[in-house]
Amino acid sequence: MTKIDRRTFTTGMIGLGAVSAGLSLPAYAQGKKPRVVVIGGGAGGATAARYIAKDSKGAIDVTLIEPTKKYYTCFFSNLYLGGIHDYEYIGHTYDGLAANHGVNVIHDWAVGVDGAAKTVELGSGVKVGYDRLVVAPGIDLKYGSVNGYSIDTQDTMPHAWKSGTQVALLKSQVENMREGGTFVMVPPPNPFRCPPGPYERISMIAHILSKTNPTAKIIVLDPKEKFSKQALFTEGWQKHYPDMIEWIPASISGGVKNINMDTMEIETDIDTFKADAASVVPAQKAGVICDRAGLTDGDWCPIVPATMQSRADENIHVLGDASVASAMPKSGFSANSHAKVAAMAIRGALTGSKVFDSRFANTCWSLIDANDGVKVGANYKAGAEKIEVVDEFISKTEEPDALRKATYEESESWYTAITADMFS
Amino acid sequence: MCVVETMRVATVALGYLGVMSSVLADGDPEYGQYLSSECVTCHQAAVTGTIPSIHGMQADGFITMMKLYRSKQLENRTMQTVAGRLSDEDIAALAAYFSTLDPPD
Ligand SMILES: Cc1cc2nc3c(=O)[nH]c(=O)nc-3n(C[C@H](O)[C@H](O)[C@H](O)COP(=O)(O)OP(=O)(O)OC[C@H]3O[C@@H](n4cnc5c(N)ncnc54)[C@H](O)[C@@H]3O)c2cc1C
Repeated sequence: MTKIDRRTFTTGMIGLGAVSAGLSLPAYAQGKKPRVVVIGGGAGGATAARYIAKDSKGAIDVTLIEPTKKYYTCFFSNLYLGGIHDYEYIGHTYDGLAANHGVNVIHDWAVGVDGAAKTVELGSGVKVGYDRLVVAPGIDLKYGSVNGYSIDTQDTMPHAWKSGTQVALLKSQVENMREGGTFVMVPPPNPFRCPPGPYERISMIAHILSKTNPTAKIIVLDPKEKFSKQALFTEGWQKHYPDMIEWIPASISGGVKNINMDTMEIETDIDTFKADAASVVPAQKAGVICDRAGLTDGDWCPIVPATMQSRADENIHVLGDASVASAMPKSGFSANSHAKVAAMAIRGALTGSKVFDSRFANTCWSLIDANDGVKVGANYKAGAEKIEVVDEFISKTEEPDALRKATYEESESWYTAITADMFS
Repeated sequence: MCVVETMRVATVALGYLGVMSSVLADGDPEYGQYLSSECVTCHQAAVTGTIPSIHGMQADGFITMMKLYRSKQLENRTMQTVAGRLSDEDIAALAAYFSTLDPPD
């Protein structure tokens, strides 16, 4: 790991003393090369690191802190579950960021942030100094939100809501279900990462089961009364997987009361469901580093819409799922869009480059069956308090097959493009 | 640095295109570059599947296409929404920027 060069390290250390001398002057005005540290190399953090390094053309020192050597996207992890892509298709390394843009990639955890000293502490104990910090750690799970579920037993009913090995585990559990067995999905309560995600997961598991285990059943025990793209998913489930999927809202089931991980029994008011395989996705909150850095208000980090600066510390920008981006859903597309706004604001502050009005966008594609793609999207602007919708759209029910196929193909192209936009 | 940066981009672009200088006079490529960050989430330099590359696209053609999406004469809900909020100035800036890039091989 550690490619913190000596200079970054020492200026980080002497930073404390130097602060008082140049507190109000931006780094560039003091003739120093400004430093940006990014915590988290996902949709938000990787994009931010890339855009700041690329567009500042070497004028800003960018360090990315990310524990994993390979990032497996949550987006398209459902297509991996559905057998449409293999595991390696959704894995991406950080080599391009280092080689093409000179980003200093450190594979370690950020364990603390000292906003006054402007340093990030790493798992190794090393402290890295910054002029601006980007915090984009994604989500952590509130395991206690589902009785009986815990971090120690999560592999029995994988949430797979952070990508990687949990998704691979879930896939093998689905494939090894007994003939005619029951798969139970417990989606999370709002707000959570990727509103259509649980329902795309159900679709892709139905897709694979309809081929390999057609008498299997899928029970969805939802803590909610409605969900994203509901009319589109419901129509698609009836069309492609008749009688396979039963969606039960909390008003009928009373919600999940308890899970017995040893017997795979999921208890509700109406029945106890015995699962042959299951995916339980608990409630969510901003990655724990946000709490440690003092950036959260409740579970998430409030931000200033125009720049994605933390409401708690103007030298810190919070991107992606961890932020309260109000009208925008927690998606990879949104996180990538936040990153571009923040990158522009950070370059403006540190190098004096031009700053324009902030604009945001999102489109979330979902796959219901092979070649049956739907999408929902919007563009947004920065209001004073919140990010606000400018215009939005959603696919319609009963669209022709050709349009659904084109929508799916578009999602494939988007995946290739956004992962290049993050990592190339 | 900001002024130098703008001039450098403009000079390169002008040298590259010559005849297109009238378009550049209307469209600010630096602004276009910022706006383009929304486009490249889907339109990368290389063609990716069914989404076309717009890198190196002629400014006139670009402007015509975007106005057709804006008026919903061209189909595609995503593109209609993207174009829907772009002013003529925004579209000109994007056209100026993308026309300075190398087209895909
Ligand atoms: C099943 C599923 C399907 C989805 N489908 C889509 C889709 O089709 N389209 C879409 O746009 N979005 C989709 N999403 C949502 C998308 O994955 C997230 O919204 C997106 O990844 C958020 O980006 P982020 O940068 O906030 O977090 P992440 O992408 O999760 O990145 C966070 C990174 O930070 C690192 N990290 C965490 N803590 C620390 C620390 N202390 N120090 C250093 N590094 C740290 C993590 O290792 C991780 O790499 C889906 C999600 C799921 C679960």
